[in-house]
Amino acid sequence: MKEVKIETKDLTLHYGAKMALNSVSVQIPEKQVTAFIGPSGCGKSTFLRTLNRMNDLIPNVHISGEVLIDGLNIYEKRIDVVNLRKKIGMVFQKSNPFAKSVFDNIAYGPRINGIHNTKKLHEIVETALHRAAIWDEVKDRLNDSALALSGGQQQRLCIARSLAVEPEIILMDEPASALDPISTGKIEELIFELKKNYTIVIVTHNMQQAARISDFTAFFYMGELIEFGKTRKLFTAPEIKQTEDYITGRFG
Amino acid sequence: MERHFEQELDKLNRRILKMGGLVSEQVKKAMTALVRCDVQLAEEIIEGDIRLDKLDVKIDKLCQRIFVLTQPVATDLRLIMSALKMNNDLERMGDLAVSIARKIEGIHGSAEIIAGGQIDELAKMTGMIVNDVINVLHSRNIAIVNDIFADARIIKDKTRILSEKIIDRMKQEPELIPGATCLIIILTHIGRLADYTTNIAESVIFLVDGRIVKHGILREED
Amino acid sequence: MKQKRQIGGGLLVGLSGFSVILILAIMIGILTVIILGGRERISWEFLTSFPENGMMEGGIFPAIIGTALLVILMSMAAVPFGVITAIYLAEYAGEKSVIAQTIRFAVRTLATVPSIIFGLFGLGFFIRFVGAGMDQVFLSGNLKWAQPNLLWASMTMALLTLPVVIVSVEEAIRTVPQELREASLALGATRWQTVKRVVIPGSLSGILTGTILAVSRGAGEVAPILFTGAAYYLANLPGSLSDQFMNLGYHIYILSTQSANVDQTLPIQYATTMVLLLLTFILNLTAVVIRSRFRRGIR
Repeated sequence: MKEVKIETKDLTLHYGAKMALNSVSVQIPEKQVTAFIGPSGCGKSTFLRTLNRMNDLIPNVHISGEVLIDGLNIYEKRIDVVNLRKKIGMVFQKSNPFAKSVFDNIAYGPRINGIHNTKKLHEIVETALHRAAIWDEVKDRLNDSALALSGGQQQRLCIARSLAVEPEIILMDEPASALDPISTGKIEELIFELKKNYTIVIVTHNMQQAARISDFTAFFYMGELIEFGKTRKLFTAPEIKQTEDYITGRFG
Repeated sequence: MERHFEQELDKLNRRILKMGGLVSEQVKKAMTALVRCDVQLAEEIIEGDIRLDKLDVKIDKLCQRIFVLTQPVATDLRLIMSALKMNNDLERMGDLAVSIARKIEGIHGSAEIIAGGQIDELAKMTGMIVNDVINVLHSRNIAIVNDIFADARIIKDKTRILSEKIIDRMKQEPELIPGATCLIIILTHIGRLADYTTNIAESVIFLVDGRIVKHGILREED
Repeated sequence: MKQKRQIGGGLLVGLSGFSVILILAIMIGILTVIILGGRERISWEFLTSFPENGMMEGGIFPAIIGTALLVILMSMAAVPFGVITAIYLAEYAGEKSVIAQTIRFAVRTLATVPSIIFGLFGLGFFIRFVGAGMDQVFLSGNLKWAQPNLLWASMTMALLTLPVVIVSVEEAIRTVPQELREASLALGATRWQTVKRVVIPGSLSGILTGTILAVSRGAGEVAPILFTGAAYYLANLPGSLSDQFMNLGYHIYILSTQSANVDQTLPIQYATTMVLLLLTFILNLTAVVIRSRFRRGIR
């Protein structure tokens, strides 16, 4: 039985007067892939962003309840958000490499952490690119602009970039939704590899993808967590009718 | 929201039920033919099997198509998986009815004499249990499933005991051997009918509930 | 119906075409007059020698140098200040915060103030107040800073061009996509690290454009420097901040209104105008080129 890496207790979030998350309590196991599914606007992306406090950037956001990572509530006053985000990597729906070279993109994270030794940076960059399964494709183009890469490559570059700061958790917000099937396949293979070492939480609107790559699945609807369970069970015999109706396509 | 493949799923459902109905009919006829030693009825059973074979193929193809064109999950998935399994089991049951029918002539009308009056009851039970399980498939009401499991076990015990008795009589009255042998073979087939009936019941449980039951024992989700 | 639409469309095309021709005609007309009037005076000598003989001969070298110095000092003051303000407005201040709204209001207002007012402000504040104060404190009453000079003129010009810098830099900063900031923050960067390493490099061309626009404005404005530092004739180039300086725009103004023999200096006026126009044109063109290359780059 796996350890619980992330746990939320009665997590509730408001944008001004509008409630986006309603009392969500869930336990996300370590070094597994947990997928969040649900119709558009159901709160799954919002939930993801509470895990690394990216919602702090939005004005007028009110959060109550607890988000515990390794048992520690990350919303306590004394928590250093910047440090927190170093432990948690994030990959966005649309890949967002910086307008810098491939090398500088990956080295960005280590550099802001104070690593300036060229040799060390090269090691880190190479390791990260290997782990993101893109080393062979870019090893001769480290100094080329990252924007010259294809969409799928850019996304894997962004994954490598987040790996370079050695996070423990990787959050992915629909990482493959803008990619073609072959690139999507590569990313999914990558996720299989990565879960050996990282806890992965992925938001996806593609149910087949969730069924393919996740160990656990959570179904969100209208800001509430409707059902959470092992993927195989949830897709074969869901406990709750709403879940069943959603995954069989009867609504949403 | 009507899904475009809803029609296909309905079609599958209907076909499986039809298959079940045909098999139930064949088995009932086989039991009647056995009790009355009716060779003509036996002929009908053998001829009727071809309809089952055709339907069997149609059901397989339909399942394939649904699998390929959609990526079924939850109840849809369980419907297809259980439909495939039940299709198989039903087809075997049909074959068993035919095999029984083929052996009826060889009993030489001596079923009653050899078995001493217990064939009647056994045949009735068998016909009923198959009927019951097809009803459960129809109604999706799995409340009586445990009764079916129990009855199946009873049938199997009875066939075993009866076979032993017949073997004893064969030793004493060798002239009965040809007929008795046929009867023993028929009893074996009846035992297997009971097994397949249990299978069908288990498939219905999976279809309705998502629970996997094997050999009458509930398996915990791992 | 169709005919009506066609007539309407045709009318529009016709009117626009006419306007274009009109504008081009005016521009060509002005340029022709200027070029015809001044071309005989344009020469390397003209550009590199001092005026002689009461402005009727010689060159405009000190005016060119003076304009250049003014513009450089002005940029050194306006650009950093403007960039920092723009960064604050775009990255740190909340949209609705009182401070942000106040600053924006001030910038907008500043942009509409007539340039002569800046001149008066420069006279009253920089020269008569700050300059006088400096003289009191550092020179015990001797007169050095409380008079028009390069320093005060460039400070005054800096105030004038500040809104231009702030607005174009802020615009450039806003074109940096939010997703890049998010990517940086998600990697564990502080807001300042994000600004320094992602936002500023990403808006560099905007900063450049803003600077060049400010510079080109500064090269041409005359009113603010009338009382704050420009001089008609200086025998030497300005050697320090407390010296006065000559200026192309001011030179033209003086030549055309106050020289002893206006007709005779006419060619010089035209020639000086040509130089000023050319300078402004080159600066604006550079800004346009940088801007368009930047736009192509991010696609």
